[in-house]
Amino acid sequence: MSVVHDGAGSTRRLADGSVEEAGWIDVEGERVFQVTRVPSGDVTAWVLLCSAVGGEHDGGYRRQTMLARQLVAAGVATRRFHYRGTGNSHLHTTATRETMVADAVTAGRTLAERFPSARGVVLGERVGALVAAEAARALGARDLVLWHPVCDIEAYRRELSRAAKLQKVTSGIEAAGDAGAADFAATYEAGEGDLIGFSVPRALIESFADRPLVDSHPGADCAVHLVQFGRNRLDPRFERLADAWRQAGSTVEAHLLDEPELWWFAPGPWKRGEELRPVTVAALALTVPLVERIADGAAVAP
Amino acid sequence: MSPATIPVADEAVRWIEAGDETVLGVVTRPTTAPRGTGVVFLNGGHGGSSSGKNRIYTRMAAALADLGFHSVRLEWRGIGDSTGAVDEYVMDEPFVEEALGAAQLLRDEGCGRIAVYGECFGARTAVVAAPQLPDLEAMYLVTLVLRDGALSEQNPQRLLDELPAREFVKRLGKLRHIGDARRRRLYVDVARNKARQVVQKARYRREGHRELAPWVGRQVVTGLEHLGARGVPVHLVYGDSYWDPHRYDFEAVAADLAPLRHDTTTWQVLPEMIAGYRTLPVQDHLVALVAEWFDRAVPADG
Repeated sequence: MSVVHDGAGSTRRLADGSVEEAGWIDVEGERVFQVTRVPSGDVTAWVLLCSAVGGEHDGGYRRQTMLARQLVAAGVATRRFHYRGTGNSHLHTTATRETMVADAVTAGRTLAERFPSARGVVLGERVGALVAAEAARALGARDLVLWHPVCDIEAYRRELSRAAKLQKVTSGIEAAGDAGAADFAATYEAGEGDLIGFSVPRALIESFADRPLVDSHPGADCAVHLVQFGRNRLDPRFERLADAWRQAGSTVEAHLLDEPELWWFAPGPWKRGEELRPVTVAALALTVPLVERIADGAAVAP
Repeated sequence: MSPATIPVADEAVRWIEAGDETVLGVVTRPTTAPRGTGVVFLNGGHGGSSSGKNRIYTRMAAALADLGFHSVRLEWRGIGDSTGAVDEYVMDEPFVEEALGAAQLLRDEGCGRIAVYGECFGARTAVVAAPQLPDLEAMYLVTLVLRDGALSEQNPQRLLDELPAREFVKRLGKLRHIGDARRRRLYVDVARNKARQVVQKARYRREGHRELAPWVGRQVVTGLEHLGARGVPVHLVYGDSYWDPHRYDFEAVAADLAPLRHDTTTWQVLPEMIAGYRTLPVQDHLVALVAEWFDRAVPADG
């Protein structure tokens, strides 16, 4: 693995023999923070985790860690990473579609090169799904798992706007006369939306403007596993996406989780350990066996 | 300065063994002549990964690196890439071992002096850990929570403050819904807190803190007293938002809190939503304030 910026001390070996490696990979001369979990035995599949951004990233990151730690027992290597301009990755970059896809493809490519006989899986959460679909195609991944994907960036921007208003109401900021609170719409128009302290760069949103998820078909050889959080009926947006990709030659399985996610509000109102959140328990109970089945398939017919 | 010419701090990931857990730390090294001082960032409970909300600690680390400081930002157990699981963060059960492990990491980097930035649960941990940090030079504490217990217990505590012991006992005899398990748990919590306050009040009187409210955690009193007696510069910061109860708690007892009378202890209430880093301008302001304060409090020439 091409860990740069002093990898010494960044690897830890666990009691089960697996290894967790944390560090940075180089993308276009800038650094991308990543953590890779490698099983002790044969690696049957690798999973690249493309996270959401902002509050959705903070809410979902622990879930990714838990997923990685559960999958290692099935011989699955995983890599999670922070896009440049976010988290512990390069500071002086504004994340856009181009940089996020480049980060994902580089992170996935080094993983694929390291485990050439393993089956490649890319998982994308929310906005990360837009990145994951493009990365899956570039990497020739055999499976794409989408956790409640953002299908269209403009709809997502409207969701953020509603989330900002709702947060003001639920936290009581609005009742207090809005003193000191940021106006999401105004700050977004000015170039950087302020969603209760999370940055939503206009450049990021606009970079996905002409690229709805349906246009990023991962390739006919790539099986798609779509996971919807909450509701007992598939969202019409997801139905349209699944239909379009089936017509393009992919198999698309849809999975419904009973538990809804709070997305931009998570883990805010919960205030408890992620391990206890019903939605996380449900998401892992569905995804771990799903990836294990994919890995088993790879072992039988590589 | 264009992004291409901004000096980028050298960083390293380290796994820190703390008790039964292994927590992740990101070390940032200075971009200018090192001062030999390292700053430990101690996050609030459930405050996101090592980079903090909207990467505020990544930015603080970069600003301090430009001034010659080392720093380390942590992920508490149960958060991000660290091991363990945490249900609720209890103020009077701080994670001292993890803070001490982070400080040791900085000593291993060659730092002879340690400084601490702590927010909420991190601020409490910093105050409790201080006696075990012989090389401590300065402490910046944002939203230091004065009350004990988990945050979820604190609003019931505040209600109790309004109720004299005699009234409380009288009402105990009229408990309704005592058959309901959840209510019963609440009553037990309330009674436990009241008993704790009665004991604490007697103890504070015995120790000469006659006027001090009994809900102020003993760890806070002894920790701040210890820091003042050692002459360690301590700066407490609270925000001015109506919904931030910790600031009201602080203002209610500041005059009676004897350790605040030490010359090296200062505090301020900023007219901004500091708790939870609720807007982007607040974060930018805080990054600048913290860099300025540590620059003054721990001069380069020692």
